[in-house]
Amino acid sequence: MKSVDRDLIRVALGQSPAKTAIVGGSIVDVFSGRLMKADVTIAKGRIAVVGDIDHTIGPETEIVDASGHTLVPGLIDCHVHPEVSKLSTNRFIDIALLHGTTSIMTGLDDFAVVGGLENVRLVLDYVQTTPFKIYYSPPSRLPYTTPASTIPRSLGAEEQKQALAWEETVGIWEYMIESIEELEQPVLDAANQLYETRRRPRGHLPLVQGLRLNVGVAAGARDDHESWSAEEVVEKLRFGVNVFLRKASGVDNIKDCIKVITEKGLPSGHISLCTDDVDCTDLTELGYADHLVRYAIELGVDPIHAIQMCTINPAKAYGLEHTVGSIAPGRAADMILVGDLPSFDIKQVFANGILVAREGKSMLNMEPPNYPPELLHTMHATRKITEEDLFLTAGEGARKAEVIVMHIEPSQLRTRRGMTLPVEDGRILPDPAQSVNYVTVTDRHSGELKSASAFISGFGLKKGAFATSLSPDDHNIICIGACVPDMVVAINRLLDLEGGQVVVADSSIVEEIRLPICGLMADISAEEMATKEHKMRNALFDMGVDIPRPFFTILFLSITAIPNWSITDQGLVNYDSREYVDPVLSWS
Amino acid sequence: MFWSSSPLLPDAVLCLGALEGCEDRSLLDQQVSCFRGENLLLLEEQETGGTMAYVDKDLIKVAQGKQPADVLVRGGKLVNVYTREVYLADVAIAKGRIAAIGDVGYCQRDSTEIIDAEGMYLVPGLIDSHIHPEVSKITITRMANAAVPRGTTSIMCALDQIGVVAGMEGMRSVLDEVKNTPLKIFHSCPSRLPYTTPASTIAHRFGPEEHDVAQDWEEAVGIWEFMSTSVVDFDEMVLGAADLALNRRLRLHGHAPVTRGKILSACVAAGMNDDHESYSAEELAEKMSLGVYSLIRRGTHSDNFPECIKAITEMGLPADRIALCTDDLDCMDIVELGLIDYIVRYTIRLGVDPITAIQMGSLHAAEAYGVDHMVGSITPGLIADILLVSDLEEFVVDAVIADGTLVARDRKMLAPIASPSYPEFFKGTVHLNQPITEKDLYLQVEQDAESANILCMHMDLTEGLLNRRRDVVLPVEGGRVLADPAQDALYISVTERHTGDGKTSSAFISGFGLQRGAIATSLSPDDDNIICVGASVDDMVVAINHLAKIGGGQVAVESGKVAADIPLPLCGLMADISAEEMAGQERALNEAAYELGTQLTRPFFFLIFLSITAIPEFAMTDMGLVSHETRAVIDPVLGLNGGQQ
Repeated sequence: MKSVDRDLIRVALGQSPAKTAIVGGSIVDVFSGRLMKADVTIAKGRIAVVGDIDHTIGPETEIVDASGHTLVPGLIDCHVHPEVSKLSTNRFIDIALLHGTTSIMTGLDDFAVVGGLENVRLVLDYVQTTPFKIYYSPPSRLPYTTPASTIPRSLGAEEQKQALAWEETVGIWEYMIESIEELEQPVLDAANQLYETRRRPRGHLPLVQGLRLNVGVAAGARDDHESWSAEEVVEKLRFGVNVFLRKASGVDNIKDCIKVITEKGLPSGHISLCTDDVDCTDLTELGYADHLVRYAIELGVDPIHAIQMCTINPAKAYGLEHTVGSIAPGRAADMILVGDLPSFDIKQVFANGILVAREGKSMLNMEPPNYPPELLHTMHATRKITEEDLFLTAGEGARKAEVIVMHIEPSQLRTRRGMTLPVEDGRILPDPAQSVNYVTVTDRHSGELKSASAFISGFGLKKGAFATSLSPDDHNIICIGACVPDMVVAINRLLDLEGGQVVVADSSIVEEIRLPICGLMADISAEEMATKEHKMRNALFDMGVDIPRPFFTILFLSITAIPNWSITDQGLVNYDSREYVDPVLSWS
Repeated sequence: MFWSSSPLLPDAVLCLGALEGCEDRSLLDQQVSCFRGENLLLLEEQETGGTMAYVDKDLIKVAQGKQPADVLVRGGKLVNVYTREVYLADVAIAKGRIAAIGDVGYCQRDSTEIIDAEGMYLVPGLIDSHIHPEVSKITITRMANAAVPRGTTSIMCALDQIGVVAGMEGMRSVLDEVKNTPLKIFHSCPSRLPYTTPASTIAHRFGPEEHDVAQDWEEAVGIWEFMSTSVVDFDEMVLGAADLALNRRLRLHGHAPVTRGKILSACVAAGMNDDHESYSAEELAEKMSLGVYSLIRRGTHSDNFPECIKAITEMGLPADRIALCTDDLDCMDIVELGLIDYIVRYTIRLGVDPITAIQMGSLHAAEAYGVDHMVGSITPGLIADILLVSDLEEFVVDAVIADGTLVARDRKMLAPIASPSYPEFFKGTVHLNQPITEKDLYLQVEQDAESANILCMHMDLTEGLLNRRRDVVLPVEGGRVLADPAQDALYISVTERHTGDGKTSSAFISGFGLQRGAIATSLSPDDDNIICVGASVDDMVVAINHLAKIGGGQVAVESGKVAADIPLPLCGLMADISAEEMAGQERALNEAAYELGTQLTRPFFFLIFLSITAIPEFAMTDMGLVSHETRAVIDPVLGLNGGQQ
């Protein structure tokens, strides 16, 4: 139950002493956009007074000297799927806090697909025991895939109703333009429930402009994290959409989109920054939301505006401005001490008034959530996968086949290429010389290992195979291979590992990461995970891969909401028709 | 939360054709028959009765081009309050809401009504971010007829005065009444009624129990007048109501006059969202830095603009957390100046660029109240409240589209909304079992005293409205302290009018300058008892009894006779007459007060606020003279001179 904190009022009035006082620094006033000299006092994890604080100091009050430093509100990542970092919740919180990121907005949809809503609750309960904050939005529906693929835990109206009663719940997640256009009643109903309870659906409007944007916004999608160009951002801003500019690992939309501010000079008040998906390589080398701030500054945004885009702007977009996003009375005492603004070098991080990181060292030592045992055994198989499961076949006597190849563009969008592939003993073969690999998705939830196969180009894989059990939106096993026998080894290895990611060449395991929690995450530090990511990547580079983040690109191949092709355990999916398409067109 | 307020305007007939492409023929038949006058009730129920879903399939279909738009506004230059751009854009409207913007020819069919906006700017309907509409003394339908054609299409209010007299049922009745007009009310529940401390006598209290019901109304957006004093005093009535509100994600709309430093921090820590009571740019800047939205006020009695606007024009602070409000307006101001349209003009005149002024009058208010998905901009999904303005600098509202219908031109409703019949409990609300006599009014001291040292309230208008202390020596005759117009020490009395007991308290006031006679009002926030100020106690008796006789109103009395009056028969607060008629009556009443010697141009607009205990430093209720500092009733008689002391 929320309530007016009487104790905090007492502290503000000087009737009882503050716990902590941060004195001598400047604060970034995100409301007026100014730097100002001010002291801050904290009680019960919240800010009590900003300004003249002498009346709140008692003999027990701990004094933090911030002279020569600037206090910035704790940063917010307003759209992220933290599971994609592959870190268990405790480890994710650790690296986030280290980088001054004290709140995230998420749907925990990847976790929910495998673990179900009751375990989302378990994670949220765990988070409440930490100074970190998750603002939650249950997925608009699970599976997101259209047509639906195999997942163990679907999520619909009933689960949403449960989640809407939670205090952390601020919306529904990925309110997709496709659901609106198709007038999907359960999704529209969920959006309405939110508006009735003064919350909003969190939109998903990729490449949506013109007529379609009218449709999405008229249906109440008033924020979005999927803009690809400055022109698209301008249109969305004009329609009152809160635009979250994304820099994910492997996808940087900020660089182009930020021009609405740096070149077009539009106001930044309805623009925020987010990562959406970030791997541990980026988290450890670049940082988290602090990197977004630095990056925006680097691209020419005024430092205070850059900070606003990771603090008050997202807080306001989510209706949370009384809770987080500023250094003001009543807000959570989430603050970063930085040396100077343009370089944004983090010296200390406070969350809920607790010093959680100092000079790049975490001050917390968190146990992982107490995941129930069944979430540690989520790779279900009643048998082993075989070559027969994976090979696409042509008719008897065929020597070559005409096929559809999904081609990965540098933008991550997928286009269609028509190709001719060799056929041997009825089996259509990949053609690494033409850069054509097999891509397969194997159901790992039901135990039946139903697999679908198609062809893909754009990775440059010349030999071997690699696979992942972390794969939004349905977290079946995606495997890409230049060699089908190696794919069989890779997929079977992931079954043995209880989930993870693996690189196989010449029938043996080259590198692997074990992800035993739901087949998505591991309880290892971000640094350890980053080291493994490097090894995996380098192994793939040695095998001919010529895109920078192959494991990040493979992850998303099952997302049917990305134009124009995707693949699930049910088959190759065309975005426009939302139907399965046989990748084998003909043979001769 | 979303509700419909589709007015039953004859103009709607123009759009009727729009339904011809509609799949649901029965609806069409129904509407046609209703305009033949056969089925009015049915339509009313259907169109205004229940909550409508925000996500509306019909709106989506119109945006997709699968169903026709009802109305298309063509050729206008859209003033975008998000990007601050101005560009040519057409607007397609369906079901009173904006379906699509831009190149929207695809939404048009033969049935679509075209509104030609060639050469005009399209500006979002304006929002008054804090107003007590009852203080204008006209019913909400009459207010709608005055406000909407001037461009104010939404108001944020609590209907607290209605609540004092007619309770929740009365508030609900007005909220239902306004649904039949193109005006939108976003409602906040009064933090507590009575607002007065110590509590004075009112007919209906509003406490946590009432909050628990009214906070669930579809119009609810927060609690109203979340007072700094309530925070400092840990007033559990108010903090308890705030707890309920926070759990519903409602906002706490503050009241923090001249509040800074630790008390301001305490209010913000308690959750105060906004405030409409800043008197200087420095005060506003301090509130802004703590995250408080500022609603700068220019009302009939209080103009904070010349000082507060400097936050923008001189300190260079951003305007995105600043909105505009009137708080209280009389009808002379409404008719002669306007509502938020006037403040937009005023803001421009004070050096703010027109687009920023418009943003403050629309989007910023909507954001401060968390209703930017409904009003405050011209974007898809919003209620189609659009002003046609020929010149941004001059900012004259030429025509008004409200709920998607062209309702007004040249500041006149094309078809004013007809008044409903008002409920019986709105009438006969001034209860006095016995007529008031001079005995009830005179301050009585010892028989043989010759004079008395009196703590006289002094209305100080130098910094807004404050009642300061002024000590005077007044003559005593036969134990009665006498008013002394020569030194501007007049009697002030408050007579309780809700229970019939007629409990009356008296004290003295200076600032009105009456040389003779008396003036009185039954509209008097915060408790709406009868306030009377007089140079003559005999005339005060006449004034108070006259108001009881006519069921409430305002009156000026000279030499035992009513010189002018305004009957306010509904709740003793309002009359069912137009703003123009009311303005005429106000002028006549003011003239009568001028005849009594007052130098105040709006004497009644000062009279009505003397019971507000939240205004420093003194107030007057039926309980007596109240000190703002001690929040206690004090004796205005400081000492006596002469006689046997």
